[in-house]
Parts: sequence; structure tokens; C-alpha cells
Amino acid sequence: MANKVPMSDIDNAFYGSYTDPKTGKLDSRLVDPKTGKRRPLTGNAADAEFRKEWTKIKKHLEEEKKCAAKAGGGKVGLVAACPPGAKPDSPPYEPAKWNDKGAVQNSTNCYAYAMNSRTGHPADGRPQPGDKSGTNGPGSTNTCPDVTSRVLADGAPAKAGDPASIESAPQCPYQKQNQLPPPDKKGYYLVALVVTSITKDKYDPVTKTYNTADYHWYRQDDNGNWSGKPGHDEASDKDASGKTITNPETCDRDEKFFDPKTGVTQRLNYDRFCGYFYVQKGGAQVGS
Amino acid sequence: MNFDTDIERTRPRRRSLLYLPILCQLAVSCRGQGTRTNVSFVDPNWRAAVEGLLAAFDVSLGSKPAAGVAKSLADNDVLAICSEMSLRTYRAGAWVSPQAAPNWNVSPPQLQRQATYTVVAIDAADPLSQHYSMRSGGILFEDPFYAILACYNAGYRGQLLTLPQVADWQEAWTRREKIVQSIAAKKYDPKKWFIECLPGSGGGDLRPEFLSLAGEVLGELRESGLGNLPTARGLAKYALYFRR
Repeated sequence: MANKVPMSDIDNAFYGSYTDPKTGKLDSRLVDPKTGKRRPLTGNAADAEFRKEWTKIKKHLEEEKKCAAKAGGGKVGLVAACPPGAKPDSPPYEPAKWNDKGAVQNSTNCYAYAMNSRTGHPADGRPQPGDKSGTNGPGSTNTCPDVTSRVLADGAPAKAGDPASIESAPQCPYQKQNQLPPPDKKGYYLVALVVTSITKDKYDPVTKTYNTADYHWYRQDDNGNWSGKPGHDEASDKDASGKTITNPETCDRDEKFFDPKTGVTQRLNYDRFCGYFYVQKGGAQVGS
Repeated sequence: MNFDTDIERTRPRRRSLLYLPILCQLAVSCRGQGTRTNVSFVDPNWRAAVEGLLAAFDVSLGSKPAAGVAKSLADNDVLAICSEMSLRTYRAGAWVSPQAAPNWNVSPPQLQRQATYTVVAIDAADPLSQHYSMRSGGILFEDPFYAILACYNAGYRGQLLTLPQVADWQEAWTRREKIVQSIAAKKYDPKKWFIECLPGSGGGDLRPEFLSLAGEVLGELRESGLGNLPTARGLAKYALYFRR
């Protein structure tokens, strides 16, 4: 099979994800007490979680290899560009549908874009996490836990038994360690939440810069790349350095907007990566 | 800091005559019918500045002083005048009769951290709102002088030049005399004093209203010019001025 990843690569990724990067020590549960070296996984119940993790890594590496091969080759372990349709449950990257300089562009923001909620918002709309569920109120903050809880409330099933439209998508240890997105989930696509670590706006008179406190979202498109829509700006798949976003966790998120008329720069440094979420295929309507 | 109680909104505008009696109980812009009693502007002498501004407008608009208009401005008149300015229905000479020129050489008012102050809010989005994700709350004015001036810019100059552009918050207080002089001399150029904003959710209807802010919060806004404030609908970003 063309996408087959060598077993040794999977093993190395698996054991590597359970190795402390500072000390280089492997998790003691995976060490053979006799040899002091890594032990093979067994079929015992005690290894069930490890086997699950190993399978996830295998799938992940195979997905990456598949994309890399079609994109002209690439090293396994890197997030590679996928051809259109490679992520069939993700929305297509169609900036023209959002960047109309009018009703759509000025009634949506990053949250609406990530959730693929393009219409149905009031003029000057900026749908906020928690608006739909009524959880956005006077106590809301822009911290990762608070925004996360409001987003999950927005995506909660309408009634028992229905699927959630937005779910948490935790990274497994291997992915966390390597700053990679979680595995795909059938019927869902991935979005990512980031926030500024500053919670209050600050003006720096020396550099004439507004350091703005805010949050932001990215979504994975069907070509495997990521895109976002800052406020009422245009949707784009480029990061702050102008590079195509292949990984929202590692891309340049230090956005700077210089206004030549005023000589003032607005800086939105989304330096805190909160995590990933699954959004149901087609998107989730958000906003009040 | 817990902002939960730092901001209190009073929606003054009447949307329908049907609700007029109810809304007037809430206070604000219904002249002669209802008053808000807990208004506390930062500057206790705000009337002199506003009267000086209106007198300059009246000169500029070529009005004759209205006979018998000598009443002192009420707190709630600020919103009514703002509305009139933004809707171009301001009746020159109807609010104040010529008074002695105000003393402009006053120190910028200091804030008491624990005190609660009234600010005027209008529905316009600051220029930086184009890029951020949060909800834009609007533009705030700690000085009714600038609120009325911003409403005039929007109504009579047809541009959303509604955010004072200053070197720092103190400057806004110290340059009012120059603005009034330029208006009276018919040389007033709002672009010199304000930066253009974007339409708010009202699509250009400024919907002036009063908000109450803790002194501590207003103090932070003075320093940054822009800040996140808690509202019933979550955090929103408000602008007090724009740095130049």
C-alpha cells in the first residue's frame, strides 16, 4: 500500500510521545523492567490506551504521507499540503464568497467563518462564542477555558441523542508534543482557537502600536490548509508572515496592521494556542 | 479585577411612541418628561463648556438668540442635543442663550477610582474594529462637549468623524477652546480633531446613551484609549480616543 508507513516510524513516534523531552526518559509504564529498554505493547487490558494511541499515530502518519505524496513528496511527520478534496468533510476554501466588501464580509468575523456560518447575521454582526447558547454574558472573558466552554455550549445537541455540532478535539500526547492537529473525525472538520495573552488593550507610544486583546479562529479547508477571517477583514489562508497556513499551532499569529494615514500599528498577537474543535460537516450556525 | 458591576447601560432612545411612557421612566432623552437622576459626569462644570460649544454653533449657523431661553442645561439634555445634531434637527438657539464665555483654562479632571461616572456612548465602531474579532461596543465620551461635537460631525458634516484623536487624554480637555474658536470663525475642520469611525450596528444611527463606569475602569481607558468592557451580551470593545 502506497500510504503504508514503516512500523519502526510509528513505533518511534509512539514511544517518542511518551518520552520526557527534557530528561529523555521514557514513561516507566513502557519500560521493560528487566532490560530497562522500551517494551513492546501487549494485548492486555492494561495496554488498551497505549494501543489506541499507537493506532491514532499510525493513522495520522498515513494521512500525512498520503497528502505529502500527492503534493509531490514530503517528510513524514510534517504537515503537508493536501490536494483539494483531501479533507472531504471540510468546507472548501472559497474566499470570494466571503470577501464581498459588503453584507457578508461586514456581518461575519473569524468565529462565523470558522463555523462556516456565512449568512443570517445582522449588519455589522460579529457573532460571539456563547451568543447562540446564551452563555455570553457580563462574566465572559477572552481566556481559553472561558471561550472554550461557550463554544461547546453553542455546539451542544439541540436534544438528547442528537450529535453535537461542535465538539472538543483533544490532541493525543504525540500530537501535542509535535504540535500537530488531532486526527480527522468522520463527518466533522477541524477548527482551532487562539487568544492573545494580554487581556487588556495597551498602547505603546514609542512604537505607536495598539496591542489589542482579542481571540481568533482558524478552520481547516478541504485542501488541508487553514484559513481565517479577522474581524470584518477578508478571509485568507495566509499567516502574519504571508505564508500559507499549514498548521495553526505553529504558523505566525503575530498580526500587525499598519495604517499609513495615522502612522499607527495595530498588533493582535494571538500567542496563546487554546486547542482544536470538531465542527460538523457543513458548519454550525452561530450568533444570536 | 471583576468588571461585572463596572458598567451599567441605560438605553435612552425611543423607538416607538407606543413605548414612550415606559422608556421615559428609564430616563434620558425625553425632554421635560423624564430625567435620570444619577448622572455624574467627570467634569462637574461640563455645562459651561457645552454652552460655549452650542453658542459657537449658533453663531456658525447664523441663528438669532431665541427669546426667553435661559434655562440651565439638564444632564439629560446632552443626549437630546446629540440626537438632534446627528439627525440634523438641531434648532440653533433653542437650547442656550448667549452666556459669558466659559473659563477654558481648567485642569483635566482627575478620577476617583471608587467613584462611578457617567459617560456618553454612541453606536459607531472604532477604526481598529476592522481587524479584531470581538464585539465593538461603541465610542465613549467622558466629556459631553466631545459627544455633542461628534454627533455634529456625523450629522452636519456627513462623516463618522466621531473618535477624538489626541496625543493623550489630557490633550482632549485642553484644546476645547481652540475647537470652539474655529467653529465660531467658521474654520472648523473635524478631520483635524477626530478620526473616522465605521458604522455601528445601527448602520449610522448613533443612538446616544448614557453608561456608568467605575473610575478605575475609566482610568484604564484613559491610558489605553481602547478597552474591553463587560456588557450583558459579553465583552465588548469601547474606544475613548485614538492616539495620534
